[in-house]
Order: sequence, then C-alpha cells, then structure tokens
Amino acid sequence: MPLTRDSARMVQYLTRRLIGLVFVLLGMTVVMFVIVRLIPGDPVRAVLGYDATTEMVEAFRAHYGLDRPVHVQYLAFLSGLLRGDMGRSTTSGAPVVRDLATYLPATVELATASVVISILLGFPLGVLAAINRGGLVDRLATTASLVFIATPVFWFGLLLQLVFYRVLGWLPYGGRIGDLPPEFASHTGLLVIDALLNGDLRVLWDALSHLLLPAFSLSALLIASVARTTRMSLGQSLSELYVQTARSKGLARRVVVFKHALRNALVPIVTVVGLRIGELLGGAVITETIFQWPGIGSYAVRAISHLDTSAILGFSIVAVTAYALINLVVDVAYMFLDPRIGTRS
Amino acid sequence: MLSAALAQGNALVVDTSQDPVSIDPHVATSVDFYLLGNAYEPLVTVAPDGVTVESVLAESWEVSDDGLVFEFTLREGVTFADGTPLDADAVAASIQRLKDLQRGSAWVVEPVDTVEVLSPTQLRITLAKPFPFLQALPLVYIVSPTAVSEHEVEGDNATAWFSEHTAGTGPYQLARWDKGQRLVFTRNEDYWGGWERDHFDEVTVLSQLDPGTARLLLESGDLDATLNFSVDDLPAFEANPDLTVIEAPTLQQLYLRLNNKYGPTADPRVREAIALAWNPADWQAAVQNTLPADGPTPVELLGAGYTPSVGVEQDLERARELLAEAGYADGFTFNYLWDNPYEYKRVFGELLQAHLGQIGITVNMIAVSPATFFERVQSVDSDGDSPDAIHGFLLRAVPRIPDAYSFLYFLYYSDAQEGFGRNYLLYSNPEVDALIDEAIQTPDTAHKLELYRQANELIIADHPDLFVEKSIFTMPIRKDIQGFVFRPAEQWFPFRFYELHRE
Repeated sequence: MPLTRDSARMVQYLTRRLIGLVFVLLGMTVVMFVIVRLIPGDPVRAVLGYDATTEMVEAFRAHYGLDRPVHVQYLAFLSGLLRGDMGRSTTSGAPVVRDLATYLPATVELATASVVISILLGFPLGVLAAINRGGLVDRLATTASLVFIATPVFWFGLLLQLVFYRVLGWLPYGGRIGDLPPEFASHTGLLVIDALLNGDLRVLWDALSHLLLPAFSLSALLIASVARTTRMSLGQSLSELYVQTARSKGLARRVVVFKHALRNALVPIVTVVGLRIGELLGGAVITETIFQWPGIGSYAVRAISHLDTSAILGFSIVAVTAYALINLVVDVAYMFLDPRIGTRS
Repeated sequence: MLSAALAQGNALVVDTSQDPVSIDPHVATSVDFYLLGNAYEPLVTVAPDGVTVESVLAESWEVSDDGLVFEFTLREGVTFADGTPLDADAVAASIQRLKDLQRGSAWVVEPVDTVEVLSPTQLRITLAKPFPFLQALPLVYIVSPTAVSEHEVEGDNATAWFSEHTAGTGPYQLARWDKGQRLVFTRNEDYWGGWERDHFDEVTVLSQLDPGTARLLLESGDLDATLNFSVDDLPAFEANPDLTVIEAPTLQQLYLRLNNKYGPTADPRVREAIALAWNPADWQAAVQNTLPADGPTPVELLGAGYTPSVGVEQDLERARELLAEAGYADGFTFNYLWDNPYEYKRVFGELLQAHLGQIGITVNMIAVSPATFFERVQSVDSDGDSPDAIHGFLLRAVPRIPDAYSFLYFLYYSDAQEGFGRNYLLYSNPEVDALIDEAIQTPDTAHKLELYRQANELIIADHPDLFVEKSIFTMPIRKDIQGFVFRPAEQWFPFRFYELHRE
C-alpha cells in the first residue's frame, strides 16, 4: 500500500517524537543518578541494617559495584540498559527488570480499570449535565463532581471498604486475588485478561471483585474531571453557530449532540484522561497501601527510602516512558479528532 | 473471599509490619528475620524471659573456661523440610554460608575462628576473640545444605532461591508468597516437635496493612492479630468483646543520646542538668504505654536483686545551678536530630523544647530522612565543635543479644562507633571499658554480672544519656486465639505460630 502524504508525515512525526523520548530518558537517568548520589545517606546501611560490621559493608559495596567511581557506575548501568538489564536492586537483591515485571502488571491493570470506570461514569454524566444545563441533572452532577474532587483518596478508600467489605460483605477488602488454579496460564500478567484467555470465569470474577474497590476509589477524581470537562466542552460546542445551524435545519437534537457537537468536544476530554493515565501508570501509593494492591508505587517508595539507585532508575524509566507514550497517543488522537491540529504544532 | 475462608477452620491470619524483602535467613534483617523463626531454627534460642538461653537444635553444650571453645551435641532425628537430616556438617555449612555472604547476622559469626565436625552429632566451634557467642547464636538459623547445593546459581550460594523459598527445620514452611500481599505458611509434617496439640494447619501473614484496613479486618474476624495499628484505636480494641490487647514489657529502651565529646554537652554537669529539666510524666502522657527506663541497661540483664541508682525527678532549680556552674547560665542552642517519618521523635523534640526552654536551653529541631540520619550521627567526630554539630538524638536500643553486653558494649564502649557499635556520641570511660573487657572473658556468671553492674553504675554517674523509657509491646489479638507467648528477644515479631491455637 503506497503511503499517502498524510501517513508519511505521520510516520515522520512519530519517529521524531520517539527519538526525542530517547533523549528525555537519557537526560532523566543522568539527573536521577546524580540526585540519588547527592542525597546524603548510605544505601548500604539502609539494606544491611545498623548491626553490619565494616567488613559486611565493604563486601556489599563490592558485590553491587558501589565501590566504583560514580561515572563508571553510570556507564555500566547504561550499557546494561542497552541489553535490557537495569541492574540489581540492592533492596530485593533481584534484577530490577524482574521486580518491575512482578509489580507493573498490577499497576497497569488498576490504572486501566480506573480509567474505564471514569469514562463510563464521568462521560455520560457530563453529557447529561451539558444538555440539561441548569436542570436537576446538571446540578446533581456538578455537586457530585465537587464532592469527588474534594474527597481525599484515603478517606474514600476506607469508606468503600467499610461499606462493601465490612457492612455488606460483597467485596474483598483488598489484595489482588486469592488462589489461582494450578493449570492457570499467565499470558499478560493482567489477571482479568488472563482469566478471559484461560476461559476461567471463577478467576475472572475473583480478579474483578478485587479490582473494583481500588479502581473505583482511584477513579473518583477522574470521574469528576471527566464529567466537568465534558459538561464545559460540550456546552461550549452546543452554543457554537454550526450547531445552531444544524438545529435550525431541523436535525434531531440527538443527532446534533452526538454527531456534531460531541466530536469537537472530545479534545479537552482526551487531554484530561491522557494526563491521568500517565500519572496512574507511575503507581498510586495511597490506594495501593489501603487496598494492599501489589503495584509499582509501593515498590518505588521502598526503593527511594533505601536509596536503591537501580530500582529508582528502573521505576523512573518505566514511569517516564509511560507518560511520554501516553502523551504521544493523546497528541495523535487530537489529529484524528480535529484535522486542523497538525503534526507540526 | 480468600481471607474469610482462611480465618475459619484451622488457619491463622496475622500481619507483618513491612512487605518482606528477602526471606533468606542469612540475608534478612529486622522484622523479616524474626518472622523466619517460624520456618528456621537456631542451635539455641532465648527463653520467653528474654535472658535464659535454651536448647533447640543443640541438645546440650559445653563452654571452655576461657569462653572461647564451644562443643555442641545436636538433637537426633531432626530433618529439614526437604527431608535432609540435620547433622554437624549442616550446621558447619550454615555458619560458613553466613560468613561467606556477609549479610544479615554475619556479625555474630565474625569472631568464629574454626568449626570442627567431631561426629555427625557433635561439633566444636572456636572463637578468635571473646564474645557472648552462645547468647548470639539464636541469630544464626540453620538451613538445609541440600537446598543450598541444589539451587546454587553462578556461585550465589543459592541466595536467589532462598530469598523466595524456605528449607529449614522449623514447624512451618512457606507454601506461597504473593509479593506485596501475603505469605502463606503450611505445616512441616515431619517437624521434630510433633503435632500433638491443636496447632494451626496454615498461617497467612499479610504484608504491611494500612492501620484503617487492619482494624476493619480484625473487627471482621478476617485477621487474628495485627502489628499495624494506630495507638488512637487502642481504646476501641479494648472495648471490643472479641478482642484483647496484649501488653508486655520489652527489654528495649529509648535513650536521648547526648554528645559526650563536643559542645556544651561535653560537660557532665550540662548533661545532668538536661536530665533534671526533663519531665518523664509529660512523655508518659504523650505516648502512653511506656515504663521508666532502667538506666543504661534493662535490669533483667543484670541479675536478680540489683536496683540501679537512677530515677531522676524533675528539678529545675538544681538544673539551673548545674548549668551556671558549667558556665552556661545564659543557656545555649541544643541541636536535636530526628528522622522525619518517626512521629514519636517529633513529639519528643517538642517536649524537649518545652522542658529545656525552662532552663534557658533553646532546642533546635533538625529533621532529616532516615537514610541521612545515621550518616549525620556517624559524623559527630568530624563535625567537632561546629555550630551545626549534633548535640542529641533518640536511639532505641534492643537486646540483640540477651546479655548486658548488648547495651554496655554497644552503647558505651569507647571503640564501639562502627559495625554494630552505637556509641556514636563518643562516651568514653576507661574504667567502664576495662570492666566490660573483663566481664566478657569471665566464665563465672555471678562474677560477670557483678562486673556489669559496676560498669552500669559508673555510666549512670557520668550522665551520658537521658534515659527516656522502657518500651511495652502492644498488639491487639482476637480473643479466641490462645497460647500466646511473648518472646522479647524476637524483637519485631515476638511470637511463634507453633505456640498458638484457636479455642
């Protein structure tokens, strides 16, 4: 299939952005390496405990190469990175890549679920509010959004646990899943997807029931922002001349709203959702703690408090890459939603 | 729901105060290490009194007069969970593994010179220098040598495998570990101690819980006991008919360590003035659940019938006099160092500000991160008399060894600034050093205790620290869980699954 001029431009654009990402990552690793080294404190004592003798400390430094000059350590890290090796975590003793593979799927699953919930609830709420401006639905939706935005996530999380676990007994308090059957094959690490692939409905329900409360508590803020942005953006579109023209041509209100106004209203909504996915992929420490969700946020916190350079860098690379890629996806989505937005902007 | 299913029947659900990092018994530290006391066993252990050494894998032992040679006779008929029989070679291999790895409790075997296997059930360990080795041996767990050789990868001494699996002689072995969530232990059916009583079949240890979540689980009966609770919730636990709150005095003490070498606190009169200005009652009211400190060393470790000559009442007038005598009638600025997440250290600092303010001392609270804290503390000597030198910080000292050595040497020996030494603020009294040196080489227990007591009294007279409190272990537990035995030597996980059952 021959490339059209548009798709050639798109490929060029994507290449440029991805090359940019490589430089961002490179710069980030340098900055992180320096910052971690500048923080006064001893990563070795943080791991070995304060009973360690001088011999123990020296053996540990040698084992993890911490006795080499900083620039040598950095270059070693970089050359490992090219081979897909992020070094060993001084805290867990395991390769950072393996640690990330353990904790990242849970984070991806939680972030995805929370975004899906937010869109499913926030978007219709915003649309209803926009087309009934000033009406009862609008006022209810606005109030609900404000409450969601103002509610601290830990409080909301505990409230959900209290109601759905303690009082109603419908859902587990937290954790990710109970027992997996021995023959259960893990393809993606995302339990909901794996359960579907395995055709195992019991695991599917188990995974979903564990996912529901943390995902919902994490989506409160996003539901509210999606609803508010939709209401505002759609409200603006609805007051535009082209919409009034369409209405006066005698087009049905439903058609005008969904076919004409909504598409133009989507750009700000995509922005809000995109930014939030980027943030969520970096882990959600408070939600993870309350619901014992084994995600990457708690791993990162532990790495930071132990000054675990490799783990901090590994986590940062994942978080920065996720954020940059999501932003790229959002930018590309703009172009599809609004052809006036070009690859040069 | 898994947790609900587990709490029923013959299963116990507890929690731990962190998500375990490594469960290799020769690598783990802190709470992870003591949790492993359910899967692994040492040659000897510390009895629930926190002082007496008692038999586990070693049935009996003899110590030479100079305290350097130890001969152990092993218990017969013990096997590791993987079926390997326990013998003297296995013990020797574990000591060597700990030495090679230089992690975890390696400092315990550092003084070991030779380990000789005399017969399958007998071994002789010779030390290169005096050390309370027998009392430190509870910190050396014995692992299956077969598991080590089978799972060794690229000369790693099987650390990768052991960091996620267990192969010990203990009653419970790890069956499953969902990282960040829970560890599940099941019975080691061949456990030498037998399964005659109604022990639990399965024990789930939840990783660190949010205190709010832990309370919900505990009240619902899905959790049987928790180490993750907020002090504010204790009245609610006490009022709950299904729960009881265990309170047991520990052998841990909290000290305000004072700079004994530099700055105004180098003068013992200033240090005494600080102790006299402090009001213990305010501290008691602020943190609850504490006892007055016994002085430098918990009395349990100094033998029966001895009362240390501490017990300071607040006396502001005398404190002001002492300050004036020392040339600080107008007071000075006291730099108090604390590491930020530890709330009790902030509370302490604020009380200190209030109390010392009454005698003209201004307390400057310096907050740092935990990783930075010890860096600062260990550089006291190089900071010298500089204006931002540290004058004091809180230190919680625990009986790593059930012997007064654990406090007298670690905290007050002149050279104990590195390794496991904690004398960061440079207390030094040659007489104390000599008494400790002599005590450590004395085979006669009564004489040893006498020497320790003399050292203890000399230290009290020097006012090196403000002795803040002796801690109380507190844990809410479901009432139907019976058989709880508090083991003060097992610091942060001070109980064993094997001793518990459900009524």
